[in-house]
Amino acid sequence: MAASYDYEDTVVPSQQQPDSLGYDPNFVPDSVKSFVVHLYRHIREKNVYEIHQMYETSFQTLSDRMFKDSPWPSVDAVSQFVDNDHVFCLLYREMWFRHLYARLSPTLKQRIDSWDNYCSLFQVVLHGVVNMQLPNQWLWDMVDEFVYQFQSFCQYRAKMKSKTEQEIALLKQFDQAWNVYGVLNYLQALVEKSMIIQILEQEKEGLEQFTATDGYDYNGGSNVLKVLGYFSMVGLLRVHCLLGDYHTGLKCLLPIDITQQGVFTSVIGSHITTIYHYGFANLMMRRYVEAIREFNKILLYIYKTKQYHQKSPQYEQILKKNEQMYALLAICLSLCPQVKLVDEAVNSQLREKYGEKMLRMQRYDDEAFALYDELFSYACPKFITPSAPSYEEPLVNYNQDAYRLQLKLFLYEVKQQQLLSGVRTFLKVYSTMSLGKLATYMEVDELTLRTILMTYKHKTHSVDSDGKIISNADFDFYIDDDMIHVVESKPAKQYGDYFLRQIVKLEGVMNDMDRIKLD
Amino acid sequence: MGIETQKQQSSVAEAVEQLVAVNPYNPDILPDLENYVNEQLNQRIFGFFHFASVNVNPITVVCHNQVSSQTYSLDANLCLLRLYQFEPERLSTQIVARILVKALMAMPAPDFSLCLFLIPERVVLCLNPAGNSLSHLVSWILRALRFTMVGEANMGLPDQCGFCGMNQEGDVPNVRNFLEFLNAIEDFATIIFYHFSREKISRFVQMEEQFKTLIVLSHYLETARFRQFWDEAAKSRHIVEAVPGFEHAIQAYALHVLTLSYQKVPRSVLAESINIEGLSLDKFLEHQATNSGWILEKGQGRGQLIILPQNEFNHPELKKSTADSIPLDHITRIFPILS
Repeated sequence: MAASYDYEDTVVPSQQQPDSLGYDPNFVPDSVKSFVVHLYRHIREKNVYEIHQMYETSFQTLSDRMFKDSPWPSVDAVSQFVDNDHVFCLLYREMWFRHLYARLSPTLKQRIDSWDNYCSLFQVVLHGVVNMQLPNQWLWDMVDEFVYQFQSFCQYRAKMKSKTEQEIALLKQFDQAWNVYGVLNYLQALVEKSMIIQILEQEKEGLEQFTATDGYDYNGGSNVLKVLGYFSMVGLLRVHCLLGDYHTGLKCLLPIDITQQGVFTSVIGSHITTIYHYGFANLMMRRYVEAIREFNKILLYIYKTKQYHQKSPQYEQILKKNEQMYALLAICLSLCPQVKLVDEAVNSQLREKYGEKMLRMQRYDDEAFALYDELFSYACPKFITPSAPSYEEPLVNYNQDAYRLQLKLFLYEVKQQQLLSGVRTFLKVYSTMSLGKLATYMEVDELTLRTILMTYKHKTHSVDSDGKIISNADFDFYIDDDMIHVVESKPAKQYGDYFLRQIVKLEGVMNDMDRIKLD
Repeated sequence: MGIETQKQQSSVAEAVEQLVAVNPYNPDILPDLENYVNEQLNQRIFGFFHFASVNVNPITVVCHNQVSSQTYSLDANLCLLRLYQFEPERLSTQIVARILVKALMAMPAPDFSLCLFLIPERVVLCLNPAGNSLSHLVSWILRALRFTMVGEANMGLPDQCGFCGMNQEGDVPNVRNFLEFLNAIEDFATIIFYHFSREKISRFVQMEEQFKTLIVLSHYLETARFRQFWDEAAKSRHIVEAVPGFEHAIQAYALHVLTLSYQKVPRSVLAESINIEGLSLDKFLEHQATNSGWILEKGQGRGQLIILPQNEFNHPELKKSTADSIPLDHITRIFPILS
């Protein structure tokens, strides 16, 4: 049923019309036939390397050459070449829709069909009947695309003003499609069913191997459920961030130790998505130092490895997230000027991009607020309203609501901190000073100054996930009666971790050398 | 007795967290979570009631147990707000207000903002137009507008807001006018939005006056303006006094900020922050001196000084260097090499 796409209810005119392009969903060019036949064979033979090649390279090449602005052939047309294999057809359709979303605008019907396809695919995986071994890249893309299509659907649905009667009828009829409960429960089910949390726990005790094999199963089993479950934790983090639920989002990610290498770092897209959302959630929870630290690490990583991804289909996406994270870093550092935490290479990039804006953001006048607004709006996730619209007249657009709420609350936080940069300026240059003197400098009375100083303390000390108080302050102070004593905090260098990494590396090198036979 | 209650409290918190952990995205637990929020606040009223636990639902038992306890679970409250966010027509503003009060009590943790992030502003307007009747919607909007206009005199309404006269005449607008009306509201909201940076807190657009008060209270706490906070709280007794332990929780937060900032704090500053004066303050200080190691110092000519207990924030030299410590699970990575 799904393959015979009904283009009549398309909303996008001209280029979507099948006739104008001569797109025939049933025509299968030889190159496509050969593609599916080979891909099918490699999947059956569990040849991960070849699958990865075909998935990453051949699929893109064929798309660029033959399907630049039309969909791939329908699944019904190709199924005869792959023994009508049910799971393969689900995978093919998953790619089919992903390609459609990337290159064309999906119709409502197509959005609903894609949802159905994900449901079928995940159900097959959850029932444990899949015995394939798929590349991490592909499994990540599935979770990533699933969340993306959910987000895209919510944005689309929220633009009620421009909906036709047909579309509204379809929305009402298929109200379960991309339902927020459905989306969250699928991700949650993948996490639970895969037992991934337990696997990661056991790995710490050396009872299980997961990270060491990049999630692959070399004992004849399948990696699909396990790795999908693993990436679903990142998917949940992202969905919760889109909903504005930062606390729950971070909680979903807890089983993954992001300070270490892991399966999430084996795919660049997953690595970036994880850190972007992790950093953003920490920013919104006022844990600036944590956000700065992780943004710095990933930005440095991207800076060093960018050139290797130039040919990757994700390259543009990588660059975009890179820019957004610089904007978020600029925000964090304006609120919490811990430049020492930032690597020189990252810092010089940051100065180049935002140096001038960051200077102006320190002033906390109207212009500064406009800049905070601008950077936040540019770099924040695409927030969504998850609830179904009211179908009663008058139809209203509400696609901006969620974003506006988050922006407003963020700017409100900025507003509460506006006097702190003034305090900071004086703390930098004095080691002790009396309250009276500082009050005169800041042109406030002494009582107000006391509240400002306490605000500084409160805002620079965040509560971490264990309820412990963490200092984010670059300059700290204490008050003894009416004298302020200033203390500059020096960030502690983590030599321990560095040495541990080097020990592991050295061991690896020595093992490699042992393996070389000299004769 | 005290230990008993504490035990009960922690088991209640555990049980509700367990329920949320097992059903993070299950709409069916909504009534149970609402009960939980209600029970934790209404304990004094319902304290003597006997709850027959005919229902085997774990949370009902939880509620039964927590009748006489003060529990707080951020996860449970966020879960409830999340369900409201998914199905705004089930939202109870009363319960949301209670959750917000509880979140204020959790300061210095950022719980209050975490809750606000989840409360959509246009819920009532878009999705729950009071039985879908147009006149209800109109009256709601006018109400919302009235809230919005508090303290907005100098901003003025945009020109197209001529519809305000409509209300006085009592006309129900036709749909065409109504659409314009909605657009105007949207424009108006946008204007407020853009004037945000110059706004005072009192101009926050919110759907309920109660929420507005709570946001003002939160603002005073976030900016350590305790005098204003206690004044405002006194004006809104009906909101905050519904929650047992409110005053005490805020005092604990004030003391937290004071101990972060001061080695020695003047008595007057302390008194203002925790809103205790005179003889009660003497009693309080005495209690703290015997139990928490506070030292009272005779001021030289001026007021009394109180030496607060030392911590790494008011005595930076106490700060432990974290550089020397490495978590055990990082070391486990080199175990195979060492062996």
